[in-house]
Amino acid sequence: MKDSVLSEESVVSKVSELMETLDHIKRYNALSRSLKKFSLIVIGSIAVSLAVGILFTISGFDYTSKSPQSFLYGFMLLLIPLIGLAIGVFYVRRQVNATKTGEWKEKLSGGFPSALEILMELDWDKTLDEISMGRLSYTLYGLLKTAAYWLVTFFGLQLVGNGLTLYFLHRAVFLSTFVSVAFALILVLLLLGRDLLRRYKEIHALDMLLLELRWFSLEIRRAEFQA
Amino acid sequence: MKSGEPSSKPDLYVIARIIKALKEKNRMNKTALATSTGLAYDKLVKYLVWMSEKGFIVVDENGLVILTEEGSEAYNELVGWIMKYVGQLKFPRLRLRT
Repeated sequence: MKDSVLSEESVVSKVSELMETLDHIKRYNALSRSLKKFSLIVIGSIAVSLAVGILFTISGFDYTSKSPQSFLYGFMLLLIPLIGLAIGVFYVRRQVNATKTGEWKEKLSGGFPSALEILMELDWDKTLDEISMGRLSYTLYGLLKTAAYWLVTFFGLQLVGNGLTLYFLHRAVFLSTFVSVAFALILVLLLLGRDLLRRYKEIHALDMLLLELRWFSLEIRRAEFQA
Repeated sequence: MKSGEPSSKPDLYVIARIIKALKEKNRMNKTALATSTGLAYDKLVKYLVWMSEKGFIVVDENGLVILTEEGSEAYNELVGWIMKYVGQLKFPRLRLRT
């Protein structure tokens, strides 16, 4: 009898873990839904920055020249995608934090039968699709964010490098574009390396979870009361 | 089974709910059992007929529903079966980074 109660509690605890994991998946899907807007905000801000740059050129402001004024214009141009990136990340964070979770907690308070009900009533196909989609979106978001950081770092390097070279060495070009691109990539990898590694591990963990739940969902759907 | 016809494939959790209520109270009349399990009376009766056929319960002359040894064992087996599968699941520690 005592063993049976312990097993019941273990099932409830495991189902609680499962539901908490699925709540996390909901957050990944919120990220998936906001991915399009995130890309639009970041690409939009880069487009605005380029448009302003073209406008400067048309209006006769040479933001690539050696004067301190041009450095300021260049800085303003860099600021636009930087603000775009910050707004994009803020938007994603807000969408993710607004996800409703834990609605199952009250139901699970009914003990083993309720845990069983949750398992039986779960739309497994939809859940598995959501995990798969969440995994993909998380990967895409990680790549997009890294690319955006890379681009901003590249522009930043060009601007700061050129400014410093101009100030100290009285030369206009600090680094070639190729070297700047490579240097920016190294900087971004150093900055986001740990984050990228964690993301990779998390995506791998989601892969494993998907496999386990696929097997589990087949077993639970086959369940019948054997007398 | 959603229409309340337990003769073919009953919902396991409904049966589990009935057995759990009977385990706690030992014997109950149908109305109290319906209230305790949150089931509509006619749906409960259909389930009780099915459970009676399987030997999980008996209804005495006073109309009280009693859980049999078989019913109790079937419930424990169900808990064990679910635990066998759910116990093997390993959940990753997820922490979404934005």
